[in-house]
Amino acid sequence: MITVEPQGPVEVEQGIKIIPGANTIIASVDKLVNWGRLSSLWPATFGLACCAIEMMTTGSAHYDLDRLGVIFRGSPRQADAIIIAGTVTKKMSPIVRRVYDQMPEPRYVIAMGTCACSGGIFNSYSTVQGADAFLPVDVYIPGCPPRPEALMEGLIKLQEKIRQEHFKWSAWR
Amino acid sequence: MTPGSYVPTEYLPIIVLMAIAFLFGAVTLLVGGLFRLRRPYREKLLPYASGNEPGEAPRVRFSIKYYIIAMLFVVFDVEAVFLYSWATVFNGLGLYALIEMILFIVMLALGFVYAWKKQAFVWDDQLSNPGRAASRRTEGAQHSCREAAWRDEQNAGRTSAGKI
Repeated sequence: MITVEPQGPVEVEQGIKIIPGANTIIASVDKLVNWGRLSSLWPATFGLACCAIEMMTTGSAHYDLDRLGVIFRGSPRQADAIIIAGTVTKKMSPIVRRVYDQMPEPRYVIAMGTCACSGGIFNSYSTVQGADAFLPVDVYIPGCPPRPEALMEGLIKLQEKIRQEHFKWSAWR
Repeated sequence: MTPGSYVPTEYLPIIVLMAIAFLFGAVTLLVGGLFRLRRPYREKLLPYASGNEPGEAPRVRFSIKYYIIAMLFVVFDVEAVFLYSWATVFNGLGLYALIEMILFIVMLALGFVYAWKKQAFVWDDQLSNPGRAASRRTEGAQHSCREAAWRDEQNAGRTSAGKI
């Protein structure tokens, strides 16, 4: 049997073509930039309560977030995501809002744990019933606390969201 | 080669390296500036203060003694540079060079003695700490500012017999 190498571009995924002989990939700039952005998601840590311990565990050796490209940045100026890990109290909410405001676009918000998603078990005079009361949340991760694998799944879901984005990264739209 | 026509071409890679380093930074900033999203608003432009509203101004007054130390350092560091070069050729030079270098060191030592007399080497004394004189009135004065402030607060309403 003689097999013929396919000539010309072969579509491997939607919108991404490979030219077999020439080691070339043809894709849109969007896909390239989105791949760069999702593979190096740098969150600003906002560990407020017990979920912060799970976030630290996920970042450390056993579960390791570094393989997703995640490097925790201390300053919102260098971050492109913020992980709200823990209960947001009414006293803390303007501070969280200000830190979110100081992040450069494009930015994402992950609400980790049920307290950040919806107030959790604390429906009291002092707790904000969910971070989405004052922030535009992209990914909700329920759990009390969510297991490290759940946090990683949340981050991967955020990566999937970024992958579908269309031309969000530039000023010329 | 005719005299006056020497072109040092061995140093060309250094120029190329400098150009690449410069372009590295400049192109990154330029391309970033072209494509960056620009959506400034008041809260985003605030100086980062861990989420709080920024309070005090970032530039505070600091003591002049840092300037004096820096100046003294510059002068004596340059002297040290000359002493190091002298040390490498010490054996080859004769008595003449030794006397000349001793005169050099003596001139700088005169400046050193001047600085000494003008209290340039005093880092911490009564004049530079205005609060110290007040807290030295009591025996066994503590050194912490916070304790001195607490003590002054306690002493505020008391007679001289009952002061802490």
